Amino acid sequence: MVFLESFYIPLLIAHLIATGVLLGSMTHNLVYVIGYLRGRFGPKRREARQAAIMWWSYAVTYGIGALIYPAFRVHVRHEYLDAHLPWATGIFEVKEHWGALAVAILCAYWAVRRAFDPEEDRALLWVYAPWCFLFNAIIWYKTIIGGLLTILRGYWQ
Amino acid sequence: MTRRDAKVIGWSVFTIATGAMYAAATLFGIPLLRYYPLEHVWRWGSQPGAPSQGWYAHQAVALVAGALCGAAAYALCSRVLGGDRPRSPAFWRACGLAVTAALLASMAYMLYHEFHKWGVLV
Repeated sequence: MVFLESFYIPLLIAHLIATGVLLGSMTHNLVYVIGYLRGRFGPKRREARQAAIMWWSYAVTYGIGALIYPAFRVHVRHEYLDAHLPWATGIFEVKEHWGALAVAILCAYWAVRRAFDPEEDRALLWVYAPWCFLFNAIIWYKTIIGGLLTILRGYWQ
Repeated sequence: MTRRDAKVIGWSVFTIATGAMYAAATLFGIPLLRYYPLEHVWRWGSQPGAPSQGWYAHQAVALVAGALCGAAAYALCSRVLGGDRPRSPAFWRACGLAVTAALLASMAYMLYHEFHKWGVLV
């Protein structure tokens, strides 16, 4: 019996729900940050709130993903993907590597957001905005690939 | 340099160093602690044939290395280069471009490594 194998489906659904919250918050946050780059600073408090929701929802998503990884590694990747669809293993591995990098980006993003005012310190947007774009790109890649892998082999018999 | 500027530089160095360490561990094949889910044990290095997970230790090593570098950069900027004059917009433009380029390079290397290893797009 692999670690948490019996709880794989409920945890996978919880992972999906947390991902939905993350996608919503980070996309809202991205829209606000694009607004900053265009000189619109009205929704600063909402943007900061979305950044906090991003942080917590990514922590939950990431934590659940780490918990279900052993069962996925054995029953999906080892028993099926590695043997029959090695390209799928390749795109999955990129997802995991970029996800680890996204942890660092999001920690920095949140910490810097708490330390500056986008309207008063506009020059810092040169550092802040790229983190936002990169984080969004990574999470959208992870979501699309995660969905594709679930279609290919979401569960085992 | 203000304390806030030192903080932003520290976090910037943290992201760059985490990405660089993560890529370097892959590039140089540094043996890491791996979890063997069928046996429920942790062991150093990879055993052929047995499914194992190096991702937990891989990211932990990268994040710890990144945190050490970031803390060192913060300490250097706030104590050695102290003062209260904020950095110029040109400095932050260069900093943002450097951080973005470094992160994209780390991501590109990971993509290349895995696509090459697993025969994606070949």
